[in-house]
Amino acid sequence: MDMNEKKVEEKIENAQPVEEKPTLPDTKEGRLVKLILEKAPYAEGNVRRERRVEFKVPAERIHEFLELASEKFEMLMQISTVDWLKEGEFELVYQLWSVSEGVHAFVRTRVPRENAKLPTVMDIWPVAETYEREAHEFFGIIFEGNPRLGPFILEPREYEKHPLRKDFNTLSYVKTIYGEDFDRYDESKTNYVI
Amino acid sequence: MKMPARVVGEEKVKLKKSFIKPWMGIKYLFKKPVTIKIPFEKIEPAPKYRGFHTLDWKKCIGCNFCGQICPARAIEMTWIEGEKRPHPKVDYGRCTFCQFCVDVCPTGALGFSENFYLTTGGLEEDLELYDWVPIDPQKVRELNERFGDYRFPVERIKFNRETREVTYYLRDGTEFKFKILGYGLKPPAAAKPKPAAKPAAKTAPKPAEKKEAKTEKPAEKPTEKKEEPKAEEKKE
Ligand code: SF4
Ligand code: SF4
Repeated sequence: MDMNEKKVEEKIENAQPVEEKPTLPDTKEGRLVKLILEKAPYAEGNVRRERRVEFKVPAERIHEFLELASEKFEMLMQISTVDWLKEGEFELVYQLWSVSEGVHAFVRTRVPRENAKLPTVMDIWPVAETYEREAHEFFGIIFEGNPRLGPFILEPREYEKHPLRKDFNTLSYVKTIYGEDFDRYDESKTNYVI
Repeated sequence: MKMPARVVGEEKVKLKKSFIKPWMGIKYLFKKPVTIKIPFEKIEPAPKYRGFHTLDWKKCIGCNFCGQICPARAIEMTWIEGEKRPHPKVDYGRCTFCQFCVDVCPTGALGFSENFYLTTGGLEEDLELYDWVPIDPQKVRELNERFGDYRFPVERIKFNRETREVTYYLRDGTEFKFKILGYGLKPPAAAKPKPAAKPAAKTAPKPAEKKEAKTEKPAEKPTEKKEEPKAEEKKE
């Protein structure tokens, strides 16, 4: 809330705190967002800056939304995952690139941490297969419909441990693998100061 | 849709295949090869090439900023006998030579030299060479002027695990000795009684000085610092 108010002060573009109809700037990005939001009223969208737009979509409608967005955004560049441990949610950010418009879009969606499930978007962008495997391996998110959610990059002993989750303790895991002290020298550098 | 970018016509970038053209590469057969014959010729690293560290023991205040910024966690603060503050010990097994620690050092104590050669055998005592408390920049400069081959300024490091004495055998034959009391940010508990006992054995006038300094620890830092390194110099 506080954040939003600040933004309003700084940028008139984003206007009106929170919700539904932030007035979009009359630029290429603004029109693009408007076009998509007209077809997808369940989403929230705004323009971050030039060539950068952002959408928030509820998880159950993500596939529908991405299919719609793929008309304008031809490329899926990345699916990045953020683990919000306190809120108990994973935030998936689908990064889309519009080749025709030159606009980068972030489509954010949140799923609960336990038993995180999402529909695959392989049918829209075949490249999603790899990104989803990665998100599956490192965070344990299940993409229904992706046939290759198996071991991918990690070694067998690391598989199913989901090392990029915030509750994975890297240091203690390393200690179980390499022993308490993996320093050659007299002192031990296995404690972290910061 | 109109593409925003300017597109170069394909006819401009597409090359015709040729049977003759690859043979044009033969012209280099008769030119001087571009190579440096390393044992006989020298290369000069750039004037601020990021190499091994130097540490001005008089300036270091033991703030551990360097240890905090180190991305490789290569720095461990080391308590040295005779020094009131810990000094960083750099482990070249981990160091990435990013020199963040040099930039972050508030007093400018930590510096770097252009020296970059360091090769050892695989024995444990050889490998001790990769873990050192950097020495004074003046000394490193001196050694560089003398040898000028950009090697690590120390030839051999001996670490006695019982007495915890470290000896650096510098390249010009001098030895540099100090004693490590402990590691980490907190003063070593075991070392506390030692400083009182040790100097008594070694030199007569020192103990009084030490005790004074100990009691007035927080109050007068600058004077202490001035005193201590002098002792180090003498040892050197
Ligand atoms: S070398 Fe610099 S940054 Fe590191 S402890 Fe000493 S004064 Fe602080
Ligand atoms: S140069 Fe970089 S990696 Fe090496 S000790 Fe300094 S901060 Fe750490």
